[in-house]
Amino acid sequence: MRRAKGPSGQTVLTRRELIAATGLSAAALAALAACQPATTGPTTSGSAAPGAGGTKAPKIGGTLIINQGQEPNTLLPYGNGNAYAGNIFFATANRLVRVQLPEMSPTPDLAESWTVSADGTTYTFKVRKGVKWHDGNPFTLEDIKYTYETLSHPDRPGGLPSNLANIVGAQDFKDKKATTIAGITTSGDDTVVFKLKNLSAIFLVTVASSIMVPKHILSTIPVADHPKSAFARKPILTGPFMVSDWKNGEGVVLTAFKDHFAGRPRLDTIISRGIPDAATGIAELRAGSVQVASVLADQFGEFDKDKTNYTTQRSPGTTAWYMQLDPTNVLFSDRNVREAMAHTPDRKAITDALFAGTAEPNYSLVSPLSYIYNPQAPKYEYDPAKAKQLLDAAGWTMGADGVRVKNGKRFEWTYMCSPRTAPWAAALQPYFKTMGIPFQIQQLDFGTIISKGVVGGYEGFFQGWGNFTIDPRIDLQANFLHTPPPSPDTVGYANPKVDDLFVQGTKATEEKDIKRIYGEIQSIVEGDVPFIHLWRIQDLLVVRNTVKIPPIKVSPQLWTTAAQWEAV
Amino acid sequence: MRRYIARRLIQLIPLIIGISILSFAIIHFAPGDPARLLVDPEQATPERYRELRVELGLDDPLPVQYVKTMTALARGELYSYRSRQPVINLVLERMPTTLTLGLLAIVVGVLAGAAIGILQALRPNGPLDYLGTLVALFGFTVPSFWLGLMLIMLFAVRLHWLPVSGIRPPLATGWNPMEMAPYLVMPTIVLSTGLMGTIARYVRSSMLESLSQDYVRTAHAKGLQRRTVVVRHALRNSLLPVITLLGFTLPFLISGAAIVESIFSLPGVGRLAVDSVFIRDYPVVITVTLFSAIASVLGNLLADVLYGAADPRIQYS
Repeated sequence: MRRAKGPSGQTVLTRRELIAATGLSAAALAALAACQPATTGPTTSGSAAPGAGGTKAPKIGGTLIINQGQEPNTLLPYGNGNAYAGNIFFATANRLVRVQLPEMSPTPDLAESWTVSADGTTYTFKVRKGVKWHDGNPFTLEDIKYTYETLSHPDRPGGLPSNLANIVGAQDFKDKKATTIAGITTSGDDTVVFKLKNLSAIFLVTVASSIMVPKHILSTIPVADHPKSAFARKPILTGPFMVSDWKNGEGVVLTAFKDHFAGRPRLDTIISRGIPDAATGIAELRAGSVQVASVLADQFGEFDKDKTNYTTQRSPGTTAWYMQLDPTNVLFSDRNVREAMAHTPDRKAITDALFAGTAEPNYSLVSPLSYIYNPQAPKYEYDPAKAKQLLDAAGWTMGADGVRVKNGKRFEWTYMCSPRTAPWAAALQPYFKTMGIPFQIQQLDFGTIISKGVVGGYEGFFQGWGNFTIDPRIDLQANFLHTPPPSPDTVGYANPKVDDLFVQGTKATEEKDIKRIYGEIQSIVEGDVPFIHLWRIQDLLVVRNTVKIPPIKVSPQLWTTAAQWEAV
Repeated sequence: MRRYIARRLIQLIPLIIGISILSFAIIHFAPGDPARLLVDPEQATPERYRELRVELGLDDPLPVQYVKTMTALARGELYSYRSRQPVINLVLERMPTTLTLGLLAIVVGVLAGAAIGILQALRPNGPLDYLGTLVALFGFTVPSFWLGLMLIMLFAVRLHWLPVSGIRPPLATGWNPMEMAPYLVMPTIVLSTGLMGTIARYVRSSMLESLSQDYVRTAHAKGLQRRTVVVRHALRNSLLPVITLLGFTLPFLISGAAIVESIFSLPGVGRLAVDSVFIRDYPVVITVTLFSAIASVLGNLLADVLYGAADPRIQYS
């Protein structure tokens, strides 16, 4: 799973968080939001929580210690950094364009403004002047060109992602047929132009939101050696905080960059710790030696009640939890059977029992907070009578021993779960048993689940997908686009009509067109019932009252506000 | 003695090779594919997955992978799948924490265990003996994670006497014993508890046997002070099995350190190993396994040498 701020020490489970746990996630893609400088106010709504700003002049100085639960795996911006690294980059790096959360709309960062040609294939950026790298050197247009040449470099492993390949000349550069990327040119001292082969509706939120890296440092190191370099441990970037130290197993120390173009951040120092044990993380919070941490539902209540010492924030769950079923398995190949399974669990009863009011039933992969969310897409509420009817109609008749049978095949299956999700699966088990389609829980470690989670290699497994780390259009595409390019072999979803809509989506730039196309995709996909959606668990943040954190709307937004964090 | 040590060190070579083959095979035959865990889910196409397997060398035959891994390790050019940093650096920068913790646990465990065992043996079947038995049983039955959390709740959260976790103050650098000592108190107690219990039982049993020997009775008959008899005559002989035990203790301390380091968020090798197993970071797992194996074998060798030093009757040739 992937989020930058999983509850302290919790076992990560979603496919993206799996990345986080293992260390991937395309930083260039996932690092969508950039730090907001101290001079721009927090994006608050409603009453401000303590520390959310206000009329008083903000206090400058102080140290804040935050527990992320895990450590970054690398601090190379394009080094397949995990979600914890992504959080550090929110505080230390800048892009041409950053993505505003939760709207996911592109907003200026190092680019002060931009224009798009009438045919949508030329982007002209006016770049901010007076920006400095953390070592004091000036940020120049050459750094922008170098950043994209590095991302497209022949010595970087793997092929060129389609979004980069869409830049004129990028593929030639990758193939060593050119020494520069023809489609990236500069003029004057503040203009950079990107020429694309084809219109791309997601150019700004993908390519243009890549983290800028310094040519004067990295050009002296072979690109293949960048991941092993000292830069990957202590990068020189342009954001409001600098990485001043990273001791493995202890934490990353960020110090204020006083020459940041938007002014210095409020804190002097942020220490990001990765305390692996959840109970220890909670103890640190209680002892006051950690001031900010995400917690689980069963721990949240005690902090929520103690207003003297803590401020708490609940934000809507960003991870959609669902049962992933192998569509090629004879048990699940019938769409009506999958719909019956979707009607089987009483999500409300389970979430009330398991999560103490901090989770809500969910019926979609795309977050309801997302701008492309389609509330009209099919939903499958708890309806055991309908589930039975569908199973009967599909030819699965109830056997004498309470297990449904069809053509001699018994409807019994195995559900892979991690240690974290196993109790959740146990809560689901009675519903499926009653329906005559029981499953056995197979508890495995996350690495084994992911390795077995390939179509043909599993029957079902607990899955989670985090929203608000990449554009929701990419969320959908990553799961349901069959071809081209070939889809992930974990989901196995294939629908030519959906593929056509994705192609249309890449050219849709008007919001109404985007909503229409991706709304239709959701309708079709949910109609095919590829996943049995379950719930979203709220993200629960606890802050000691010795520091102030602006209110956030969704949890991935937390680190984007780092410049406004304040000591009391 | 020197020839004996040299011979044992030479014997170490095939042993290490055997361990490396075994650990390499086990981790590769265990379920889980590093490429699946490392591939970016948003770009997890079958093609990208295959590319990554080639990059990591996972498509080579296992013997080829083994030779490449060991050669790279010997040259210091083996890199972590996850962080892309040299594995040897990752291990060496964490080794001091684990060694410090292990040594402290041995010292505390042996001293406390021996003291309890001696007191029990001097007053057998009395209240002190029963109390000692209770303490020893508690020592080797109490789960580390439970004891660790209880200590944290009492001494760090409630009393604020000790820090909860970590190895030094957040912004401190270097190895300042005064700064680090408070951070090592609870981890040392937790890691040494099991050893203390075991040592106590061994020492009690061994001391009881020694105290009933003729030479002890003779020493008493000669009019020697009780303390002299106990320390010089009985205890020295009683420590022989303890020395043997210590040789076998090292691997357990290393495995125990993995739990303790996780509970107390210590930057040690044990925690690195656990994290690496979960993400199938083969290079790190292999390297840590080898380091642990070498430490264990050297520990046994040290025990043999100490055994000879403690008992002049034992001669190595």
